[in-house]
Amino acid sequence: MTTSTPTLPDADPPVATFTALFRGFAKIGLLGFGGVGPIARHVIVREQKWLSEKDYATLLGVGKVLPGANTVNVAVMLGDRYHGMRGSIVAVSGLLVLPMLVLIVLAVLYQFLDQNPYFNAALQGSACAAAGMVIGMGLKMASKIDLRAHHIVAGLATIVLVVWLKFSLLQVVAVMMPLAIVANFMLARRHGHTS
Amino acid sequence: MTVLLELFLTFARISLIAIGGANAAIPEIRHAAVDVHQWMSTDTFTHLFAVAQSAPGPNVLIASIIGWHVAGLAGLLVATIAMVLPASILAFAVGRLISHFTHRREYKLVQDAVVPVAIGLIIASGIELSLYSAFDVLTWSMVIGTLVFVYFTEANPMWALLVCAVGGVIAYQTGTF
Repeated sequence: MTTSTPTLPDADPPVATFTALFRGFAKIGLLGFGGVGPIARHVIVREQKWLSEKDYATLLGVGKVLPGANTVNVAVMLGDRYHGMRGSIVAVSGLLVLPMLVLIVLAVLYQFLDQNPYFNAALQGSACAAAGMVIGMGLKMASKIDLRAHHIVAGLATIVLVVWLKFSLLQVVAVMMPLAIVANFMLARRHGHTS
Repeated sequence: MTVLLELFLTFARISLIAIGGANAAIPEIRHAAVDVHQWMSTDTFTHLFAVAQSAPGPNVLIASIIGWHVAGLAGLLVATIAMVLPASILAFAVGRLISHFTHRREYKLVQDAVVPVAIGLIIASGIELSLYSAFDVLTWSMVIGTLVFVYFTEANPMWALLVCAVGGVIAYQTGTF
């Protein structure tokens, strides 16, 4: 059913100049709070029309399978489609430069106020919010994909390995990724209906 | 110089295994920053994470602010480049190769298998962060409240961060913290 997903049209892509790439990704970087996923889709698909909804989903899918931030990976691959390596560098820079400047301001503020008990109390509160934010984002991502029972088992097993058994990231990735992939292939073969 | 090299090697290594992004690698980053290199305490780590989340942009900023804390502007640049460059080179190479395969059933099966594990890593990171940050009824309600807010609404999560920051100040003022 999904086999007909077209790859990006190599011929005649909409024109994206260096300036447009930089601006588009700068907007994504600056407006994306707590993760840039939703705003990235809005800018790339709706505003700039660089990709169709379907092509964006495909590219984001590749970005998710690879290590590193999804949107950085998308910026690398999309920049490359228009202007090769220079396009990738421009897109990633656009994504990172403005948030870095904001971060430096916040970091300086942090340095000045580090010993202030009120500021520390505020940070303690924000740290709890940031933790809840990460869990909430993760659950939201889970709610948006087609979850089968064995996917849920894989996700829960990953959580147990990290939180209770204190496996390192490399150990978890080395154990869980092959297991999950093999399980998925075996189940797909047994059911034999997916195509 | 040694510190910059340590920063680079630490984040370059994590960059290449962080499937799900920096937020999937929080326990690993904390372990490197607190236990291995002893750049900071766990409390400072959670505070820096909160500051990084207060800035817009991709989640790689946690590396940037750790770099800043350890070695100033040079540290920030080195840690950010280390966190972004190796994964980007991989994405660049794979992006060129993979467009011929993304429509294939095998690719779809790999993707369907990898994404739930990546999400598991992100949720595990969030659980670890709560265990470092929350310690009583009030702080756990901040964790759960934000979780619910983020999960059920499309609103800017900064509101939750702001509300909990104010809550922290009030709790300190009234002697709860």
